[in-house]
Amino acid sequence: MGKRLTFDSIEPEPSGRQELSPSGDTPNQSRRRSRVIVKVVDAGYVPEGFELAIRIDPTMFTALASNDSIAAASIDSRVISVARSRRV
Amino acid sequence: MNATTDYEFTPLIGIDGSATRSMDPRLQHAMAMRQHGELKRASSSTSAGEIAVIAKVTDLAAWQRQSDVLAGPVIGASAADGSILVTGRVPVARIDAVRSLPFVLSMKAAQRLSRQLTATPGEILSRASDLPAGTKVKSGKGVIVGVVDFGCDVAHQNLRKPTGKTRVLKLWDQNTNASGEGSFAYGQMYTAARINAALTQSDPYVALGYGPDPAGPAHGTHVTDIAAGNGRGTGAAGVAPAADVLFVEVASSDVPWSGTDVIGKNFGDSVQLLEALAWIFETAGAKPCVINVSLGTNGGPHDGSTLVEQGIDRLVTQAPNRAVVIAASNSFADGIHTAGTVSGSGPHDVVWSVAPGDRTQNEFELWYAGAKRLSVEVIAPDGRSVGTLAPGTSGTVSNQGQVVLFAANRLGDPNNGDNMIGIFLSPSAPAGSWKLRLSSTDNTAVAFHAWIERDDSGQSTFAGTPDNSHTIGSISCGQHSIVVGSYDAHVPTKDLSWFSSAGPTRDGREKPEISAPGHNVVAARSRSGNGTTRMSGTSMAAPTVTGAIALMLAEAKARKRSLTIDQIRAAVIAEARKAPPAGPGWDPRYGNGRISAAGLVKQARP
Repeated sequence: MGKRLTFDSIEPEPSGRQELSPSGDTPNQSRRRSRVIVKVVDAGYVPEGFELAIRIDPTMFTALASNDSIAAASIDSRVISVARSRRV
Repeated sequence: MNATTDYEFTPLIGIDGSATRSMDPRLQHAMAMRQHGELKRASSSTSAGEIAVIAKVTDLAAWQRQSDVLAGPVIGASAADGSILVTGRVPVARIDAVRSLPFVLSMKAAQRLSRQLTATPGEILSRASDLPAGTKVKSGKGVIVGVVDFGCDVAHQNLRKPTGKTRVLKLWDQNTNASGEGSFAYGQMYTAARINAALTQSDPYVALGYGPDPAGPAHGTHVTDIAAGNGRGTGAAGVAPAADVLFVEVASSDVPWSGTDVIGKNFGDSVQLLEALAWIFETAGAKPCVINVSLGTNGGPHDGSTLVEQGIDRLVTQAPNRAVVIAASNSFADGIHTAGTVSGSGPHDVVWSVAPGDRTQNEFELWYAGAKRLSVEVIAPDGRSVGTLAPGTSGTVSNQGQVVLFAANRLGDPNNGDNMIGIFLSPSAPAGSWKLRLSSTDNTAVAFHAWIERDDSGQSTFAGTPDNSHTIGSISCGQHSIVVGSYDAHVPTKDLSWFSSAGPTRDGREKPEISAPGHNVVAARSRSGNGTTRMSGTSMAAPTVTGAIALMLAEAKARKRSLTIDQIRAAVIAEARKAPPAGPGWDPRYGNGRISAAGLVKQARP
């Protein structure tokens, strides 16, 4: 029988505004910039650290953002949701 | 003598996860190659992932009606025992299922077969002679057909005018390292003028700096031809042959996963898909525009709440004369969905099977109501527990610094308020049956749905009897998109394609809305000048509907009418033809019925 697989550790999963998709990202990828879709409360609002790419309408746009910025947006009350890229 | 190498024997797994029956070794070889992620390439007589066979059957009609068989000629007369020799083409994924049919006495890999002609325009009533009397525009003229896909052969004659110039107004290759244009500031834009200049050169692909993959027939070329090809090269026109074309070669560059062979070539990126749609509508301006998206995967909440689906909904409701048509998906027979209820008094096991030899990443998603709470214990194929994740926790299993497994039991999706359990298995995770033991933490019953992500190079499955409902794609559940299933237009009974995914959505809405011919469709082949290739999939059904909507929008434009997306969707549903599907209502795979181009054009009138 091979090596037993066990969780290295079990961490609290922060509830936030990221669209739920398991990422598997590791902490050293915190500054990697990703393309994301962002939905906000206030028309025209772009969270700090997000580089606007394409505006879909006043409260939805695509952007480039680092994992750090996405994490910060997850506690920004003016942000409804942030979605990372998924395969389609 | 060199040192010996130990080779691991990998058992062959059948469609239901069990060992396969005695079978022609060449068929077994094809199955084994697929199990190891090797896709059989297209040949002159077979599509990619398909094999030609010769079979001895006892029921010819049943063989010819079988959805996963493209029946070929009957060879000779019936034998004394009543058996008949037939040829056909079978998807490698279905070899075991077809071989196990009671009327198939034997089946072997066989000789190549000749091509069939497409029956699409005649079946959906899109030919000029099929359209209502008094129709002002019969070819989609004045309408933009947008296509977001992989590979567009601008040199194919079906995508060129009688002058030889291109019908592609503009093409955006999102993959190229260039600066784009305007706010779409990446990739390379190819204008019609640039394309036309390249078409005068001996090698237009080199001259342009863009061309479809030389190794394949190009999905995008085939899809575009079905929607809008003019038949100049092949002699068989698509549905809206005078429409103008905008094409986006969608990027898969930003998907945040790593590892060789993890990301298949035929995947795009959801963010860049949304940007592609925004670019097409912006470029089309005030012109009527319908966009085809023959893309999709399995993971997601399946309730239309993802931001990419919300974004599509917003784009098509911002202005009239817009529509987005999406393929339902080809996952009906893949064993990728399960559903159930975790009782309040005991655990419920979901078994996730990863075949030996699977060298790809595998992903699982389970969704349940936000007010409920589930814990999940992950049990490895060796029967030992990896650990239990309480609601609101996540965990990683690593080995020598490499992630083997990542799991998250996350609460409160910001888009729908529901909870999700997601598990990633890396290619180094052991194969076998992973058991996910679900328990209600507040002792109340919890209903759930779960999906396994699409994986063309080694699809893992749920064990047990498949629940093939809710298998439509991850981006196919929006409120305002038009989603399309597939049937076979070549048989009188218009049988469903074996692969065509089923609705409804997780929140119970009736999608797909409609179905169209997507089975063994012959259309333009890349880098052939005027040649064709045959493909099957809801990818082929969707552009049929895209073309039909283009005909409708052209007629509405000629009559100075504007149509909202709600009006367009209502017309698609109202004009759907029955028998099949049986009965008056919605069918989980045919949708409301079969598309009628003539009906849509009729609805374009005041």
